[in-house]
Amino acid sequence: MHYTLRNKLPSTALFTTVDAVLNWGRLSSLWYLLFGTACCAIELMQTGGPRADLDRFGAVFRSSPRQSDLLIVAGTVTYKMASRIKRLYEQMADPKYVISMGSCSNCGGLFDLGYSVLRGIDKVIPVDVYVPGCPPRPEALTQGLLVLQEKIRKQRYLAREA
Amino acid sequence: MGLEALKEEITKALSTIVVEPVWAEAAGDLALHVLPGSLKAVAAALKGVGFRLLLAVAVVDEGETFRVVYPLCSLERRLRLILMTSVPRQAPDIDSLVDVWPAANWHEREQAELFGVTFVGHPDPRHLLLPDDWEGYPLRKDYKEPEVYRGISTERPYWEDEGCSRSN
Repeated sequence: MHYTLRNKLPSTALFTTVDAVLNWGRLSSLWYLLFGTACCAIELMQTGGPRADLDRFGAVFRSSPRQSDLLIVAGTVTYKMASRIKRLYEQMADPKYVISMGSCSNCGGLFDLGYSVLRGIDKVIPVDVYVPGCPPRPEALTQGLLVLQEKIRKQRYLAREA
Repeated sequence: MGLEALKEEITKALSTIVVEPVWAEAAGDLALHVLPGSLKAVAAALKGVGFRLLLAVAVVDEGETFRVVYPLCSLERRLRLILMTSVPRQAPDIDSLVDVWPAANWHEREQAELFGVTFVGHPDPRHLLLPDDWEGYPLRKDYKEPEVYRGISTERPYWEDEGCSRSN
């Protein structure tokens, strides 16, 4: 940058792109829906707790889908529950993201042979990140969140769709 | 209390309903097998003997018949008894025991949706666990899973490679 221009600007100015600012804001405040369907929800609580501390990445739970950016599908999903999860997803405001946590919501997992079990939440709603494990440890879910943040960092909202 | 004394007491209590009780043993407990027609009267009489607690209602798919099992318990007298009856598969109708033991309410709703046994006289015969639009009785041995449920495919690509069929 030319030094004369720099001298004319206040010292607090930063130069960036709109995409980068939007993405930075979005990935730094991934509020997730307080929602669990089975035992993965216990690990989800651990991940939100003080030791794994998801808060340090800007992810805190919200009790309402209207205020949430992220849906963590934590646990086995039955056909009966699938329609409820779809409704919760539709109630969330854009931009919204989904992490499928654990084998059950990835593909049916341990309960794959059950008559009532949905074989993968991706049959109902789109999924951004799959976290394997039965259940995944808090470190794994944290890693999943970081992967999602990297994904958001690369998004381009203002680009014209090809 | 010895088993023989208990048998004698129950036989006496049932004397106006059942001429000769059919005794058996199930999982170490005394079991009483009755005809479905006399089930409700027998249940009321057993409650009079002291079996005030109904632990569960179970149904066993035995092919031509469904066996309906009522494990009973008397906390005061420290006794256990299993009441059993069999209904034909073609017409699986049985009296509801909600009037005798209110605990039977949800158990019977669950068995009705899973096995298709009709509990006649049940005060609230809706589905308990399954969705309202569910078709078929999933715990029957001849249950065939539908290909699609509410537009969602029910295929199991991981298991069908291993030779597992759709119906198990």
